[in-house]
Amino acid sequence: MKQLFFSLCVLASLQSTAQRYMTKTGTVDFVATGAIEKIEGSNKSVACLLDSKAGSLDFIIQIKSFVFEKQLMQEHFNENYMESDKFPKASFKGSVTNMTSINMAKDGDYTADVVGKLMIHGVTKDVKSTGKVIVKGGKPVLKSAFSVLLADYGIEIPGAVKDKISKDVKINVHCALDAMK
Amino acid sequence: MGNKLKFTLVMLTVSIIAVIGAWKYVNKASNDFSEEAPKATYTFKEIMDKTSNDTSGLSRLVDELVAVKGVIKKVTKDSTSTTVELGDSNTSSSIICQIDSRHQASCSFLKEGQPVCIKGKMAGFNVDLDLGLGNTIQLNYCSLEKK
Repeated sequence: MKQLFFSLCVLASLQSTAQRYMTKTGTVDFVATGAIEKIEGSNKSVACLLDSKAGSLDFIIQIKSFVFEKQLMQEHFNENYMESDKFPKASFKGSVTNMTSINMAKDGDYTADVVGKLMIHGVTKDVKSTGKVIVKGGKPVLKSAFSVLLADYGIEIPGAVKDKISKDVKINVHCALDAMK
Repeated sequence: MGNKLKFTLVMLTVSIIAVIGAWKYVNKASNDFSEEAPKATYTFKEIMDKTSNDTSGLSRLVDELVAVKGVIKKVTKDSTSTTVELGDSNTSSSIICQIDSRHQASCSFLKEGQPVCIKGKMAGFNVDLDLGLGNTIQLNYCSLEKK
């Protein structure tokens, strides 16, 4: 009985002291609703790292990993808008400023205030957003939804379709993280 | 039939063909690579070694169809997608394969620890220097290599 209690205590302490959580199969989706059509892309190979002690949060996104239903959309996305041969990655490097109010040892939904530098298309901007951290069984799931203006990141819309394509893009983030071994 | 009517009919036919062609071009589904032969086949170790020894060689594989033989480290599923991570317990480096939605059903049995050969279009790679995530190679539009 004593041994079982000791083992449970060790297990509980190991779980509660996990500091770094990561995934390489996080999801980032985007939607741009324009007058011509809705442009949607999805990337399920997003790398994300959260250090719950330091509060640091990192994302690395391979631009060519966005997949589309239509071939032409994918080509235009990579060649005309994101120039993915020239700028193959997007990234976010920042922190969760209220990390102390998120208890990784207790299941629940927590609001996360996030600040950091978002780099898209070779342009880096300071951003501030809120998201959710859903803790279940000692593992966090990060969720966030925000918009970015294409012009802020130097992404030009060709003149012929300028008025028919949305100037802002809605982005959804969903990353289920595992404790790093 | 008068010449004017003939001309009108020809123009109408050409216009209809052009519209159908344009519609098909714009709405063409993304390529399905499941029946195409890969440019090259690697073991997990062979291709991961390139992330530290031969990044220029690896860069030449971007946008190419490659097949990788490896062991499944993790399977991530949701209602619309399956993503397979190839790797092993000795390294945090891994290959992320986004399964083509048209081949979800044939990949529904995949599980951790299973040896597989997966082919997909290489989307890129990341050499990790500071985060401790290990190096990563990404493949898109993946399917199981049958051969």
